Amino acid sequence: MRAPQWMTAAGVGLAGFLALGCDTLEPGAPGNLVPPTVAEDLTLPAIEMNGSRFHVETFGDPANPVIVFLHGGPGIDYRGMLRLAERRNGYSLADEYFLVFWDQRGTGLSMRQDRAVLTTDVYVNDLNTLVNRYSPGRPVLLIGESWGGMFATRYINQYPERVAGAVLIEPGPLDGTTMERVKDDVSGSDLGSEWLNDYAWASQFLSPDDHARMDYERMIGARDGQPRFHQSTVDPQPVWRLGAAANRYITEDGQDGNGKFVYDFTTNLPAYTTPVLFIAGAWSEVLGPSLQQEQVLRYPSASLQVVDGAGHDVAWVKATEVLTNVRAYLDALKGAAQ
Amino acid sequence: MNTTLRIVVALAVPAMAARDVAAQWNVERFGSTRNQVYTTFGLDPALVSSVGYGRVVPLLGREWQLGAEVGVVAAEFDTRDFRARLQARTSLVRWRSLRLVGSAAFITRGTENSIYRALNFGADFTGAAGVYRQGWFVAGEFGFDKAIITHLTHSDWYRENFYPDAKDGWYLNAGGTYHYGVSGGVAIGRTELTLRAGWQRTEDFNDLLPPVYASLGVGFGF
Repeated sequence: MRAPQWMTAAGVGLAGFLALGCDTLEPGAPGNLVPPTVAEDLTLPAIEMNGSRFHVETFGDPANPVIVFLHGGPGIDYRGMLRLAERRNGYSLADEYFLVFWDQRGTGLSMRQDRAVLTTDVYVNDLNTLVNRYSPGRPVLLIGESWGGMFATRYINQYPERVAGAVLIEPGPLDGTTMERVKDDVSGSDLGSEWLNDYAWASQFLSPDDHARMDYERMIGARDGQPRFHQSTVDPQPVWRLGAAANRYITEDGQDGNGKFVYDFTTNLPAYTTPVLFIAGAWSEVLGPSLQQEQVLRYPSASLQVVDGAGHDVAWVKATEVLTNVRAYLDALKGAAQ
Repeated sequence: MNTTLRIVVALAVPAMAARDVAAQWNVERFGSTRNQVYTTFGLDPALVSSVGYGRVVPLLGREWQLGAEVGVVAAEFDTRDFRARLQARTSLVRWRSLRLVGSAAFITRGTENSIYRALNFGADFTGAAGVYRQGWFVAGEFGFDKAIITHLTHSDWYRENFYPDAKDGWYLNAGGTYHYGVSGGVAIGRTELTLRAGWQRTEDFNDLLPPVYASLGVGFGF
């Protein structure tokens, strides 16, 4: 009889202790675990577009040529690209261009969405609407990082006339065949790794049953989840808030029913003869220089610049060097147009 | 029911019922092995190693196996990720070799990862129905593990690099998981070997990573 009495006392005592001492919080309430989105905090800079609400910031003179920034992921956000808007070595892209930073549908601080509208076609339509909003009748420049480089290519493939030039910073595989080859390295999954066990163990504490908890739990892998990307842990590329649903469903949109990647963003690229700049971090193993040397060949006129001392997060940790390359590329485009 | 009362009831009920030794051992053997020490290893839901002790006692006209179990995540033997259970298990219904077995556990869990440190109090209720013989058993099981209340403390890394306003404190009703699968075992002398495996989903029946669980166990009766 001693055991059940002891357990009863422990349980009731613990409950009493907790009940007396604390106010409880709701994990799904805006702002508790992750920042509120533009649907929850109306003071955030935002636009309404295609039936959703997007987190958007702009810099510079709207009369200047427009550069649209496409962040990585899918499911990351533009916070980690903001160093490209800063003044470095006395120069800012905003001096000559109108810079548009936006969190793609269901990511960052943009409104959360369900699976039905988290497709690549919807994403392309969003980008086209954004381009027409900020640069009506005039092509834009695109700067895309990682998934953003894939997204830029997907857009160029469909709307080549709307793009005056593109900088692709370590884009992921531009077609499913290449993704199938490198996907295990991209996911970085090792069953014995501490971060993956942390992630699995965490499901006993918080279940991913709403967007706040889903996005929050995705952060567990942000520091250590992809060691071969060689991203900085002392100066980590920040995000506002990961978009777990966007990450999952945009990824699945590129797969067939068996989970095989079957997308191809390059079918119409031979028609796009404008020069394109690829940038890679020298330390990056998976999506770095070796992969980009292959992907450069998918465009009729493209070149690759490798930046020393950085991994996949080259646009964050080596922003000055990346901006130097971007500026030289844009100056060359201007020179060719004159 | 207000929040305080919900906490008290939710914690007290499973503590009084207390649960299974991992729903993993043969109730048919309660009469021959009154004490058992055991160890398990498996994916549940991370790679976890556990050790435990169970003792069969008569209570309320039934034989109950009461026990305690402690487990830690085996990846790099991370003792910050631990789980402790007080548990009880009994045969609810019997017809010949068929049994319906019920179990309940009061659970304390901890974790520390790159973005938070957490302490959680929860409960697990599992039912298993199957054939139980002295030398072996096989059963189907279905259970629910509820994270009743969880204290979160966010890491400096998360605050400095991502979200400085993240709120530390007690989070109520932060999660729960269903698990359903099969369990079975064979006895060799006083040694019992068991296996559990199945699927797990969230309390709203959303996907989990990993979607499956599996656990091997070895127990010694005396």
